[in-house]
Amino acid sequence: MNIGQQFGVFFASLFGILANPVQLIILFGSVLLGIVFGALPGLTATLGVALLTTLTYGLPLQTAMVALLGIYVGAVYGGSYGSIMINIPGTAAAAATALDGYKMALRGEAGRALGLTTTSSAIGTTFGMFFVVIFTPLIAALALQFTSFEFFLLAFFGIMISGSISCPDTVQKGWISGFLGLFLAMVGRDSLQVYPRYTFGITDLESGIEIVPVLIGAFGIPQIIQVLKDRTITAEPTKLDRVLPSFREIGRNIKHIIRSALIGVGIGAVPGIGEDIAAWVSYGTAKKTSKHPEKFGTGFDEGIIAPETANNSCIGGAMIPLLSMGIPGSPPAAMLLGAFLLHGIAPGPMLEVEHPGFTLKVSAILLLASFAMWIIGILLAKQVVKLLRVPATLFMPVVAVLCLIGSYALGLKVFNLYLMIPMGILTYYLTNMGYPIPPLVIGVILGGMADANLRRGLMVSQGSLAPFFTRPVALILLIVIVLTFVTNTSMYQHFIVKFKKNKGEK
Amino acid sequence: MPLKDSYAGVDSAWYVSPALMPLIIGAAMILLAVYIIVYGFQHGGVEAIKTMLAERKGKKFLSDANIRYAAVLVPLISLVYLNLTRIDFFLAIVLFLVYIITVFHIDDLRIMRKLTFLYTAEMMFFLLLVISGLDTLITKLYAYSNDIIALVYIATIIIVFWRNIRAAGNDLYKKRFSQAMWMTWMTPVILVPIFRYLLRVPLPFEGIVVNAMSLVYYAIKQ
Repeated sequence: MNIGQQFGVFFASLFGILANPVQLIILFGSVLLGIVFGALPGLTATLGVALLTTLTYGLPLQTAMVALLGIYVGAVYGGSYGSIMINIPGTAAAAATALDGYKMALRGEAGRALGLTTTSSAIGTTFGMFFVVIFTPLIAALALQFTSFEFFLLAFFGIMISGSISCPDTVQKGWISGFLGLFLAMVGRDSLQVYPRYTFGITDLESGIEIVPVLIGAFGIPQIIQVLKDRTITAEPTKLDRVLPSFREIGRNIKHIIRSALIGVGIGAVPGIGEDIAAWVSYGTAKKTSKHPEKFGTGFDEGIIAPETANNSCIGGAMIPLLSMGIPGSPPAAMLLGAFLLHGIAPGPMLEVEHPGFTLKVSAILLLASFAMWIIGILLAKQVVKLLRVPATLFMPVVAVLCLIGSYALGLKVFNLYLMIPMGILTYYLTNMGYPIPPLVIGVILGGMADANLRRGLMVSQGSLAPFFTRPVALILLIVIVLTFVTNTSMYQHFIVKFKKNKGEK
Repeated sequence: MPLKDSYAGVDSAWYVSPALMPLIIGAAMILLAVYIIVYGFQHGGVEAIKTMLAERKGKKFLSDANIRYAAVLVPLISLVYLNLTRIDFFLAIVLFLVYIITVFHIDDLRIMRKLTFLYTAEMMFFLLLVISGLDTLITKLYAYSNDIIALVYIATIIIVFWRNIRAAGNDLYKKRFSQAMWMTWMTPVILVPIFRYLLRVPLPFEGIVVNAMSLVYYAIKQ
């Protein structure tokens, strides 16, 4: 497609949705639902996308995409409501927003704070959308040159990098989590020789572990157990009069917005790293580079704009590896991948060949979702805030039912539920022991790809490992993986400390 | 299948073996696990284990924390592995929600403890019926027998809750109980028609209530 045709597809998708009342209603409805999901502590963007995946399964592809991207965008933004109004972040991505947002609300500026988050989130999403349009075809074109060796290393790279960054404890825990995911992906008949692995004679396991029930189990069940088990206190929201769009303040902070959006897109593009890390990195960078770092944490505009722009631009960032290589950039993007697969779309380098214009359609939906989010944020914030009074004990069991029926409805298999519960309990304990879940999910998703490509590559090379070193991209990926591994070993860290100490003495 | 063997009449080299990737994963996990164990021992792991064991010594098995944990897991596990394929979907959901919403929404440990024992006992009794095969026997005599048992369970839970709430004499509990009841019954009333008639998902088990709903739905449709 030339650039003129691309513009044509983009605007045709844009106006197609605008001219279709059903899709427009679904867009606004799903964004609003997303905001509610994001605002209510305990519910997350991933869970929202997971539950909507089952409800939109029977819908046409574009309508389902509108709903899923709408809820994703809305939920990432919606997290700021809890942060600002009750000092309890609705989602992990909005935790950094609470530092300054709640202080502003206590000063009686909740409306202004929500105005800042609404506008900066909308700008962030739009910014991310531009990056999807620009970078997805470039990376996909590059990925088309990949052979089996590169795809195998890419899967490993995804697990290593996601394990390294998302782990709150030692990085090795993140890697174990990733390998556990890879192991789960090995269950079932292998794709090359159709040999049954770890099926124990159970016929339901022969087709392998289905991704969506595993994802619902991994993200939904631990959340339900945690919220119900721990006593949650429902806080009374601070007073909210009117949400102001605050264009003047946004204009004054445009430099911070652009920087935060770039951080968000960059972090989003790294496999398995979610919006929460983007928000914290952006907040930290804003504080470091600010002329008034002492004002951070006291209800400062920059302290709200930085995380909120970054977490929403991260959505676009997370879509880039998802669409171009089939590797999700964040947990909700992993859920989206499951939804794509259910609708017969296999993201990756061949996506634009098999479904021309798909990336542009996704971009158009993202743009419309950011507008819908802005409009709803300005007009309905007061009503959404009222929902913060609903205790989690009332809606969390209902979410559990939705998780169950959702997992079942996708394949009409009760066996999916039998897998979902142990998966949920396993991830609950893993989380409690400091093992991050995103690498596990990335492992489950990429396991099949890693396995098939390694063996296919070795078949072509007749068992020779030389292509790992002779192919430039494979070599670069291998070096990055080795460096990620080496720099995270205690031996290397001791060496660096010693080296710095010696340098200081000299 | 080991690394080099034949499968379905095809000789396989080590690099095509389905065992290759699991072996790599296994080796990596063992190495990382060893690293974490060593790291743990070097960074106060032994002390942490001692403290944890000392803390556990004084704790009862049925401590408040464990009861809270059981109050989430028991209904979840029994719904999935026991009720969903044997009891009418509508009633299975009500049985799950009536207990879990009320117990956590009221959040009184004394009531939670009593009701968790009651719920577990009910589930154990049903499990015994399933293991002994009596559930299939009674459903042969009357198709909705399991649903009747579920209805009795639901009624028992509601009555025991109500008696305990009245005994506590707390108006907030009464308010929360009515909120919980509202949520318990409204959820399946909304969800079942959406999934069964709008999304056309055949439910895991359609019994007394779903069949009645279907009769009404198709009568209206005709």
